[in-house]
Amino acid sequence: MGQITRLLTWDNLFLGGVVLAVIYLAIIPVAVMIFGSLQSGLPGTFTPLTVRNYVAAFGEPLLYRSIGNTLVYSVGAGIISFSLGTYLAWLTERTDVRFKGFIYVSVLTAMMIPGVLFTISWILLISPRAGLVNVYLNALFGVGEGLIDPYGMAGMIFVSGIDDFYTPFLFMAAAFRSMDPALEEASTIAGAGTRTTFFRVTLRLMMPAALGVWLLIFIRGLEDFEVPALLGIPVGTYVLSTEIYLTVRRPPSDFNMAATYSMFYLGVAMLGLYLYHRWTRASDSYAVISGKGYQPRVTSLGRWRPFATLSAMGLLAVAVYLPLVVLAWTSFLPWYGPPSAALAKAMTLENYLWLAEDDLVLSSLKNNLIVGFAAAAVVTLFAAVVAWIVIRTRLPGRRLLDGLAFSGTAYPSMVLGLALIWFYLTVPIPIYATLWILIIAYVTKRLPVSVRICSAVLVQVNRELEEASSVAGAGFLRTFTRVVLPLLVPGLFVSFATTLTISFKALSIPILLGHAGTELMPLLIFDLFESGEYPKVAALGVATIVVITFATAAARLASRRVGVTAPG
Amino acid sequence: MIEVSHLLKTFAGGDVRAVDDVSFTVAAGTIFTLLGPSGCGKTTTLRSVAGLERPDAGAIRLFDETVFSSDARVFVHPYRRRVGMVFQSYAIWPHMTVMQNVAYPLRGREFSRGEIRERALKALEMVNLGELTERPAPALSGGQQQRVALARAIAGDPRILLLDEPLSNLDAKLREEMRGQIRQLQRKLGLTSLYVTHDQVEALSLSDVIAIMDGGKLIEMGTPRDVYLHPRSRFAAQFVGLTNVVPGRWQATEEHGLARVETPFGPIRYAAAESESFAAEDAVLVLIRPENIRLSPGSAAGDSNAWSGRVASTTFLGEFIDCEVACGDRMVRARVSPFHGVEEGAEVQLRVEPDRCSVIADSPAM
Ligand SMILES: Nc1ncnc2c1ncn2[C@@H]1O[C@H](COP(=O)(O)OP(=O)(O)O)[C@@H](O)[C@H]1O
Ligand SMILES: [Mg+2]
Repeated sequence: MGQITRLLTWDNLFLGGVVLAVIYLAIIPVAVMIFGSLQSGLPGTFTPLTVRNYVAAFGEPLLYRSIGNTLVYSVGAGIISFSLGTYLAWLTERTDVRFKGFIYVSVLTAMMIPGVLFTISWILLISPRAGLVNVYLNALFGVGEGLIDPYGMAGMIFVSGIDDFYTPFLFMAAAFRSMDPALEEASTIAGAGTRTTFFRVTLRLMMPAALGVWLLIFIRGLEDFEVPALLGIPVGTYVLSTEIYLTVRRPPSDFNMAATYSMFYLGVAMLGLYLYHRWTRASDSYAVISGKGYQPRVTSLGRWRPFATLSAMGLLAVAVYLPLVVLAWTSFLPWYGPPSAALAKAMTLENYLWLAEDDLVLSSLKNNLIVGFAAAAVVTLFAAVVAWIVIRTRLPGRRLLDGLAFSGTAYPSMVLGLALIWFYLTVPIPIYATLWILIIAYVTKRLPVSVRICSAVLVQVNRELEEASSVAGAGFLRTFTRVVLPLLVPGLFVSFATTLTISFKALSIPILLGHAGTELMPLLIFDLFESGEYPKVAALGVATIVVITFATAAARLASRRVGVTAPG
Repeated sequence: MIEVSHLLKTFAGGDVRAVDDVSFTVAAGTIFTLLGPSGCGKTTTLRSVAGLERPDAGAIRLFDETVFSSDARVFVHPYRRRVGMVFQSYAIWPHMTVMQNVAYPLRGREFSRGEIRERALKALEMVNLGELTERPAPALSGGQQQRVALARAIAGDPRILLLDEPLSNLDAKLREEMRGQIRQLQRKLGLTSLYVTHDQVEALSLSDVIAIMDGGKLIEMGTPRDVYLHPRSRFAAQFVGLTNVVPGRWQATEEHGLARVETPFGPIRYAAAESESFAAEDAVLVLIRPENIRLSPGSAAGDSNAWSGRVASTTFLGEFIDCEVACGDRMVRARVSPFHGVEEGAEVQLRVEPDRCSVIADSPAM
């Protein structure tokens, strides 16, 4: 009894509480999916265990097609975005291309555009009948309607490929920067020409980082929802995420089958992660804090310089500015149509006025702020505690805790959403269809990234700073709040800001977990688009991008003030 | 008072014995120094006293409280030990001002706000930093950080003060100044202090008692005078200052409290301590400090305590000239006055007075 009361200190309650919460968040989804895939009834009911679903799934050609589509889509989009990002990173970091500042700003701008909006703007641009580009092509050359078609696999790969090029850009730019130019200079001094040096030294040195980055994008592609939903579902091209979505949402919904598909999906995602970890082993690729960069060697492009500059501008125009312009244009229209004198005259601020008055918009914004701030605060606190336990203590099982905190990466958002629905329909915790379930989802999903960020900062903090606090008479809680957290502030900022912005960007979590009354902005955008209100969607999109930009800029300013810069 | 007994601390699953059966007592109000080469276990010992490491075995008492005992299963957490500590890195919190750093140990205790400020100010004044209270910590020089660390360590009115190589990050001039300040402060407050360093000059100038450590073991203990003048081990003799070690065979005691050792340099007579008990033909080592060797021109004439050699090299170091003298196949270090006209290649006579050398047993373990 004395033993027990001695263990019941605030310190242990706090630490134990966080640890239990992390375990809870990590275990539930996979446990529920295993259970659900062995059931034959709806969530909330209990039936005898059965392998019926697996038998059915194996005999279902749709499943194989979805898995195949998922792989084709992820590989294809990965190749495009990696090539685009690496090319632009190489130009800005290693050559004398012009307008480097503009390129950087454009990349940061690209980060502000949620995937759902990006996809919508490309539909506005190239949808067969109404897309601006198609309309002009037809008007100018009489090529008929729908020369270019965004729907189907090719369109999905193209749009997704140019959407997420900023991730490879930022990682590869960091990799280019952190390469010691002396390695290349040594090659030059040894008598190798520019070309030989590039292929024999530069490229070889970049290989490990490059493959790591590529795998990272590939894994992200596996769980993509926005693009496949908007460009694949209408023409019956399904990937695993949309397949599960439809199995749940399209009557007759079959939760058991969705859970079974989720198990396959989980398998594919784990395989991707396994490859990634085998390749990177060391956690370098997570290095979020920019270290001491070298002044890289800049190659003179010579007579290619104008072409290189032009190519960069062209690519950015397509990947960033065209979508933004079409969104902005559309947001001022009374109805959607390609630019014309008549439409220009009819331009109006009505859509923006509607934004400020519509209850649904305002409640979605409010929901989004609540969920974003709450999830960001909780995930950041959890991440700080997990990072501290893993790095600073010798508690048994701390490696396991680290692994559990990482599980959010393995759960595709769609699987996570389905699992949470199932679980909270089954257990008597009344949070289904509330904001709580969304907060839980975001915390689970973002914990791995936040833990990496906090760990990266914590390893740079001298342990003696904490020990000095203990010796000065402070118990764990005081040391943690007065010394550890303040020293982690740069990491906490980054973790907080990225989580907050993700809640304004990602559709794949609210798509299953959001309900009437708990809509978040991305879901509202999606729903409005489905009902064809393009100008309103555009205005809402512009407003969302502005909010995201402000949040990011504020976080960047704040984290710069405390002396840290970080991509993402 | 600090009482450490049979302390054992291992790392890497027992493979590294960082502290190996170490016992010592620090008398109240004195400053006790652990001196030894890097990696010998000084920091680990100090951290065990602070409670930052949990030893494998042994006991630690601070005044009348047992803060650690493996037998009684006692372990008092560092924040309950009421000790002050100066870390090697200073560990000044960069997100706080000087005042906040120093006031930290006073918070969460029975003091009022005013009292906290007053006490912190007093501590800062003691280290001559009274005017820097609102400075953010990162805007301090190395020496100032060191003093903030010291002020923080004493602000909470600790029972004991622990210092881990507090001067090692300072430049030579500052180091000497701070050494004096620490000594002064310790005296003034009568603080029972445990000081860790690898620097013999620091140890000799600061300590009431020095304990020499090597490989996790405590080799010997004594006042600076004892340790320097009458080392009881080859390691201590060679680690604290330079020493010529001459092997020999002990012969017999003689009159006037002298004893004779037969060495490759001929017979050497030394002032024997009463406690020693060598028998004839015991293997011993004669320890002779370079500064106790006198060089004179010419060669020795079969006298005891004198032999000849040839000056192999000289290095002018300002305060003295460091000479290497080849005596047969052995090299002997000697230090002579900078005005000494010693020249390389010259034949010289070396001489040491019987009361300027000491003799220890040549045990294979040392
Ligand atoms: N946390 C640790 N883990 C493993 N080995 C350690 C640790 N701390 C110290 N050691 C080892 O213990 C020995 C003594 O270290 P330390 O007490 O720091 O020496 P000193 O302070 O005298 O330089 C060294 O061999 C060191 O490598
Ligand atoms: Mg040390």
